[in-house]
Amino acid sequence: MKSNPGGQLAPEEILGRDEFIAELWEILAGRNVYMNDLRRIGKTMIINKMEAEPPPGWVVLKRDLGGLRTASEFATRVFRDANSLLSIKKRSLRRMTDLIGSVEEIAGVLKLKNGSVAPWKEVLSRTFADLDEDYKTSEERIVFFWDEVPFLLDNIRTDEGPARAMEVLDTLRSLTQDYPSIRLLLTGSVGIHHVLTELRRDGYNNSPLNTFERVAPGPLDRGDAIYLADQLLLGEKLKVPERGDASECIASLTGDVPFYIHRLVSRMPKSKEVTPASLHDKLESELIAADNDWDLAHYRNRLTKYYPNGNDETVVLSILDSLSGEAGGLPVADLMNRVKSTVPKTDDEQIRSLLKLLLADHYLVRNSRNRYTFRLEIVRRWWGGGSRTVILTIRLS
Amino acid sequence: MSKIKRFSPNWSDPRALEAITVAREGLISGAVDSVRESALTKNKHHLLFVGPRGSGKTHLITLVRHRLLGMPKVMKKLRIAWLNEDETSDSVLSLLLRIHRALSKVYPSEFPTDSTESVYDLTDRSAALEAITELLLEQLKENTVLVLIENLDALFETFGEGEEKKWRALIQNHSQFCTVATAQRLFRGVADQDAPFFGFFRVEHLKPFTVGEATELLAKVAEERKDNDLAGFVVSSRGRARIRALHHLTGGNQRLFIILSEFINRESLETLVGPFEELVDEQLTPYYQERLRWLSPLQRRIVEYLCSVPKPQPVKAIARHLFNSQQTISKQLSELRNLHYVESRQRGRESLYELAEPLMRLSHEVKEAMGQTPLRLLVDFLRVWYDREELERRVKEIPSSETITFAYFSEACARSQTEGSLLVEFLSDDAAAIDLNKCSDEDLELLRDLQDESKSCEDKLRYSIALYLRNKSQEALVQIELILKEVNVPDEKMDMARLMQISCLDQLGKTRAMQREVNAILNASQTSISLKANVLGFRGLRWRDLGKYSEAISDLTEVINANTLPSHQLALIYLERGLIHVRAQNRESAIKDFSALIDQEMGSAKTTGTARIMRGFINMFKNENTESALCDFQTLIDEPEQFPDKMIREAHRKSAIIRLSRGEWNQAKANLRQGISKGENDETIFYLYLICNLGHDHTMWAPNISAVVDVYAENDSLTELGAGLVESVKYFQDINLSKKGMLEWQKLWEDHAKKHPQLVLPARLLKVGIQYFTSGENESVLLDLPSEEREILSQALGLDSSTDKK
Repeated sequence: MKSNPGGQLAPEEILGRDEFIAELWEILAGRNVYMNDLRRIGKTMIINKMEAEPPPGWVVLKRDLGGLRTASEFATRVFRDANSLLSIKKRSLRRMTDLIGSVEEIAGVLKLKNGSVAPWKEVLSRTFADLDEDYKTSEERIVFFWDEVPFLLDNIRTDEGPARAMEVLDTLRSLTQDYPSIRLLLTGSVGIHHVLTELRRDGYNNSPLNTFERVAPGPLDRGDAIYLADQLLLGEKLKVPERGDASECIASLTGDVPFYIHRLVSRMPKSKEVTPASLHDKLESELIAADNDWDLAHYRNRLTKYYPNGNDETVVLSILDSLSGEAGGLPVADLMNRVKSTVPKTDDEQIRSLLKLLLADHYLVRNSRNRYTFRLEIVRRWWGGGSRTVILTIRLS
Repeated sequence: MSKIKRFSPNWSDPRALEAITVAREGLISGAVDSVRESALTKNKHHLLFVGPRGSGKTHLITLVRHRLLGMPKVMKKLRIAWLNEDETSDSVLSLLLRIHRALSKVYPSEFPTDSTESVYDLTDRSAALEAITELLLEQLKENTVLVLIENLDALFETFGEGEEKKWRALIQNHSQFCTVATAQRLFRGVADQDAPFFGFFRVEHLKPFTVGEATELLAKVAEERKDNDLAGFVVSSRGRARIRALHHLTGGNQRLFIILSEFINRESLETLVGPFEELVDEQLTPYYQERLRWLSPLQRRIVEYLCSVPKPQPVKAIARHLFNSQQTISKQLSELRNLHYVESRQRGRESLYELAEPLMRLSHEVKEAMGQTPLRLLVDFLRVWYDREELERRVKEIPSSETITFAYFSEACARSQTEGSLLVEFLSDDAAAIDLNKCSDEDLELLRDLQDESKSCEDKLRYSIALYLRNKSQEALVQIELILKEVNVPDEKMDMARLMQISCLDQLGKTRAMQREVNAILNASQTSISLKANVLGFRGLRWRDLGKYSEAISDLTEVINANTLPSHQLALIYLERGLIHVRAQNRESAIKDFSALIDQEMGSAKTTGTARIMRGFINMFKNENTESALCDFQTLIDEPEQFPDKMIREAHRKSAIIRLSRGEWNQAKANLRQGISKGENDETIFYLYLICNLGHDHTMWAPNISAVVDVYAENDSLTELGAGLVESVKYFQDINLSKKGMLEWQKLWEDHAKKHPQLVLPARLLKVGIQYFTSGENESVLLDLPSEEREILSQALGLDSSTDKK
C-alpha cells in the first residue's frame, strides 16, 4: 500500500473506519446524520467507502457540493442525481416531468416548459416526493451523501445573499420531515455553527439540523493507526530496522490522523533508515520550515475570527498554552487555576463556556481520565513548539 | 543542435534527458509508480513538484510522461493531457476545454476536436461546464486521465476560491483524474487550511543540487558528449574544487549547471555567448520583470541589490548600500523570504541573504550588460574554471578575430589579477561554515582542496585540526610537519602547529615522542608565553586522565597564575581544575574554582552553566548551603535562552532533589516535569531514596509515586525509572523501614507495573530484593529468579553474583 496523502484512496485501502461506518449505518436507519470534523481528518474517505460498500437495502447518491454557487444549481444537481438513478431502472420522476417536461436534453439549470428557470424549492420537493413514491414500496432506501455542505451554504450566502442560504436550510429541514424515508448524510469541515452564527447575525433563528445526529469521526484508534503506518512503511519500501517501533512512533507523532500518517510516511527519504529519531527530526523540521504545507498555524490564526468577543481570544490562548505542555491533559480544576493565574480578568463561567466551544471546534477533547487535552496530538506538539519559537523570536529581536 | 534544450526541456529528446538525470531519480520513479497505481486501481494520486525556475521541474515531468509511454499495460488505461504552459485558464470550464484540447492532439480519434463545438454553443457557463464534464467523462470511458500542469500557482491565481471549489468537487465527484503539477513555490491555494485544495497534493520540493550531485551531472554531461577530458577532470581533485566553486556560482541550480557545462573546455566562446544572451533575455527577463512589478519600491531595490552582488550579503551590508536602517531591511527581507524572492543562510550567528533564484541575477545582468560588457556569470565561471596562469596563456593565444572570446578571457584575467582567486574565495566561504568538531568526509575533502588551492598556512592548519578531530592523526602529522618546515610562518600559527603536533602524537599513543616535544617546548627559553600555557594545560589534562591529580592541579595552577590565556580559555582551566578537585574530594577548593569563574564572568554560558551546576551539586549536600545550591540551579532555569536546554533540564532535576528533601512536593513535581528527559535522568535514584525516606506508609507514598511514574511516562523515561528502582534496592539497609513498610512500598510499584510494562521486571526484582532483606539477607531467595535477572539484582545489592554458582 503506497502513501497517498490527500489523494483519493481505493475503498479497500481506507483502514480503521469499519466500526465507525457500521455505527453510521445504524444511525441512518433511524435518523439523518451531520458529520463534522477538522479538515483532512478523513470524512470524504469515510463516505467514499460507505458509497462503495453499502449494506444491503441502501442506495447511495453521493455528491461533493462545494463547487455549487446557487440554490438553483444545488436543486438541479439533486434532481440530476435522482434522475440518473431512476433512468438506470428505466423509471422517471413523474412530478418533475410534469414540471419541466422531458429531461433528456437538460444542461445547466433546469428550465420550465415556458423557458423560465424552474423554482429551486419546487424542484427539490418534487424530486424528493418522486423518490419517496418510487421507493415507498421498495425494500431499498435512498440516502444522499452530501459533502462540503457548509461550503455550499457559504457560497449561496455570498452569491445570493443570506436570506437564500436560510431558505435552503429551512427547505432541507422540511424535506427531512416530509420525506422520512429518504435519509441525508451531510458533511463539512467548517463547523456548521459558524455558518449559522453568520446567518444569525442576519436574523436567522431556526435550528435546521437539530434533528440530525451529529458525529465526528476523529483520529483512528491507536491500533488502527499503527497498522496503517505499518502498511505504508511496507508499501513505500522504506528502510525500517524496527517496523513496530517506527509505526508506533508515526501513530503517536501524528495523533493517529490518517492523512498525517500518509504525509509523514511520504516525506521520509528512501535512502535513509526510518527510526523513531528520524521521524521526530523529520516532523520537527517540516513543522518549522518556512516553506511548510502543514499550516498548523491555522489553529492559532483562526482564533481571532472564531472568538471575537471581549477577551475570549486571550482566555482561549491561555487554555491552549496551558494544555500544550501537558501530554496527559489537565483536570478542569487545574486548568482553570492555571488560566486564572495568567488571565486575571476571567472567571469559571467564561472558561467553562469557552471550553465547550473549543470542544465543538474540535480543538479539545476530554480523555478517558476526564482531563481536557488537545484533540490532535500533532497540534499540541506544534502549539508547544510554536509558542516557544514566538518567545525566542521576541527575545532575540 | 544540442539534444538538450536549456530552457525547454519538454522539447528535448527524453533519452538525452534520461542520460543526464541526477538526484531526481527517486522523485521520478515515485511519480511514475503513483500514476501507474492511479491508472490501474481506484487510488488516484495528485502530485505537486515545487521548485524555483531552473530546478528541473519540466525535465522531471517530461521523463515521467516518457516512462509512462513506455508502459503498454498502463497506457491501455491512461490518457495523458499535458497542458500547454503558455495558455491560461480562468475557470474550470476553460481548464477542462484545455484538457480536452491536449487529449485530442494525442488521441484524436478518442477525443475528436470538433466534439467540443456544441459546448461553445451554450451561453450559460454552468451548462457549458456540465456539458464538457460529461463529454470528457464519456470519451474517457473507464480510463484515467493524467493531467500534467506546469505553474499550478499561476493557475490558482487566476482561478480564485470559487473555481478552486468547483475543481475540487469535480475531482471528488469523478474519480478519474490524476494530477502531476509543478509550481515555483508553495502557495496559499494548497498550503492554507482554509483553501479548498489544502493537503490535496502530495508536495515534493526540488532541492538545489549538492556538490556531489553537481559532479555527477557534469560526469553525465561529459559522457553524453563523449568528452573524455571533461570526464577525467570532473573526478580529479582540481575538478572537484572547481565544481564546488561552480556550485557556489549557480546556487545548485540545475539549469545553470547545464548552461555552464556548454562553456567548459571551449577554446572559443564566439558561437555560444550571443545565442545564450538572447535566450536569457527573451525567456527569463519578461518573467522576472513581471515578478518584480509586484514588490514595493524598497523590496525591489533589495532584490536588485542582491542581483548586483555575487554572493550572500548580511543585513548590515544591504542596509548600508540602500541607506536604510537594519531594522527596516530586516523586516523587508523577512517578507521577501516569505514571498520566496530571497533565502537566508546562517554563518555563525549572522544571517546572510541571497536570491532564491540564481537565474534572476543572470537575467538582471543580461539586461544591465546590453551586449556591451561581458556577463559576470560567464566571467566568474572562467575565473573559477581556469587558474590565473591558464587565463593569461589563453589571452595571449586567442586569435584577434575572436573578439568575444578575447573580451571574456581578458576580463577574467584582469579580475583574477586584481581580486585574487575566486575559486579560493568560494572554497573559503564554504569551509567557513564547517564545524570542525562535526567534520564529515565531504568537509574534510573540501578543507583539503582549499589548502591545495590556497596553499595558505592557516588553511593547512585547519585541515590538520580537522584530521586530528577525526582521529586521523597520522595524516595530520604529515601536514603539520610541512608547516613546521615552512619559513615566514607567523609565530602564533607556528605555536598552534606545535600544539597540534603534541596532540597528534598523544592521539597516536607515541607517548615518548610527545613527552619529548612537551619538555622541549617547556624548557626552551624562546617559547612564547601563550604556547607554554597551552602546553601546560595540555599536560595537566593528561595527568588528570592518568589519575595523577596533584600533578594535574600543579600544571593548571601554573597556567592560571601565568594569566596569559584569553579569559574564555582561562575559564575552562578553572573549570577543569575545579572538576579535578571534585574527583580528588577537595570540595572546598572545587567550589573556589567554580566561584572564581562565575564571579569573574570569564567563561562562555556553557562553561559558567557547568560551574553553577557543579557548585550547586556540591552545596546541596550541605544542609546550610541548599539555598545557595537552589539559587545556582535557578539562575539557569531563569535564563532559558542563555544556557543549553540540556543544562536547564539538569538544573530542574537537581532542584527537584532539594525540593524533595525539604518536602516541597509541588515545586519538586514542577521541576521534574521540566527536567525529566529520556537518557538524562541520572538523579532517579535520589528521588526514589527521598520519596521512600520521607514517608513510612502507602498514604504518603502512593500519590508521590504516581506523580513520578506519570512524569517519567510522559517523557518516555520509564525504563530509566525502572533501572533506578532496581538500583535503589541496596538502600533498604540504610532506610529504617518496617517489614510491613517494605511490603507496602513494593505493592505500590507492583500496581504501577500492571499499567506500565517497562516496570514489570524492576518491580519483580524489587520484590525479591525486599524478600532478601526481610529474610535476614538470605541469598537463597534470589534463586527464585532466572540467572540473568539474578545477576542484575546481585549487582544492585552489591553481592558477588558468582556465589550462587558455588
